[in-house]
Amino acid sequence: MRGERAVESFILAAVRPDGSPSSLREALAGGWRELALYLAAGAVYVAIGVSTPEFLFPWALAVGYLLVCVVALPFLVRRVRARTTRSGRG
Amino acid sequence: MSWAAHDLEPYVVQKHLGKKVAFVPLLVGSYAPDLLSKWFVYGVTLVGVELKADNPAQFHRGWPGAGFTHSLTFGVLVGLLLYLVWRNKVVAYSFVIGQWAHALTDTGDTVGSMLFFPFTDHLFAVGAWAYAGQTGRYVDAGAYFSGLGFVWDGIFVVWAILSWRVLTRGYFRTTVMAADPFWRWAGRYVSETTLVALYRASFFYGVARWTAWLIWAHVVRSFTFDLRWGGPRWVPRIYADDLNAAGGAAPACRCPGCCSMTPRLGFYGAVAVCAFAKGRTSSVRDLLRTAPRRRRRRRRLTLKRR
Repeated sequence: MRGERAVESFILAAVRPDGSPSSLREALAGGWRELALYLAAGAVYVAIGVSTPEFLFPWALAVGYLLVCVVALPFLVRRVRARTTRSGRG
Repeated sequence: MSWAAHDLEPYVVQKHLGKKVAFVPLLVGSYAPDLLSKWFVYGVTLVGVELKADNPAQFHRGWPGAGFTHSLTFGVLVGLLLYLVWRNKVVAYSFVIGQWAHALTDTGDTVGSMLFFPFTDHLFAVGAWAYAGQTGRYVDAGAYFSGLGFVWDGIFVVWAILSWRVLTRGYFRTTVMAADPFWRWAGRYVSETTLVALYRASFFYGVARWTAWLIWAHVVRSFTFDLRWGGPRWVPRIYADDLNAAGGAAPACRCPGCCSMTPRLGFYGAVAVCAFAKGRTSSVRDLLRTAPRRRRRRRRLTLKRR
């Protein structure tokens, strides 16, 4: 019982009422991979934009690009990995 | 006009108002004034025919033209319309906040915006950076990122990064989704990861674009920095007075906005009001309050040591 309360109080202390983590360190501990993905996507976007400025204009293109980088690509990578591990076992 | 501020303002507002605002109408409001007019300002070529405004500044900000979209009244009217359709107060005033933020931000350049249209078609301009929309996209970008415009956008980039909490998944789940019916509806069809990516997209767009344009303007192309008021001076600029005079008003405007103060003084006044408002609502005021206490504590400690 005490242990549960301790865990509960730890979680409550780590999360603010608005749902965000209480400190940047905690946010990074939980989501550094996601952050790295966004930063990498941002760096590539900037590089493409600098070389082809036309790429920087349409908002919809930026949204599509972001969705491909942070949703579709990781999903595909996970799928391919799952297949390779399955075939490796089989 | 601003190149990144309109993308980032909604996140800053979201940070300060939390569940009191709905993010999507806020974002749409922030983009609304330029949604239907910007393409015609720079011009597009469709099936070999070039569509472009004869007088881009007049069309973008003035009357006759699409300048009414940059008035405070336009935001209120569309907000009322949204309320009539959705019967949701939060959605309506979130749009108004977003649209007002855009209209007020655009007063920063030399053309400004018709804030009080239809009561007056006078353009209110602070004149901090040059309006050069008539020169085309690329020269306009170069000019904007060489004058005080990019500094203004830089303030929003920093402010939005400091508001990093609003970008976290937990915040999105607890605060953004709770206040905005759009995300709850969209959540039925797509995964949470997709929703969060969509929510963060404008932040990504604003910050990445600000960085890319800055590099493009000064590394790839060699536009000269000119951080003087109303600069850069090397670009042909259009002033609010040009359009105000063209609209039939007296060449030297006699409205209270122009008579009572110089635009620069007005800008400093607006910054002071913002700083005061910020101090009233959060940490700056607390800091000022607690500072004398800290000094007293330090004095006590030093006296004890002696």
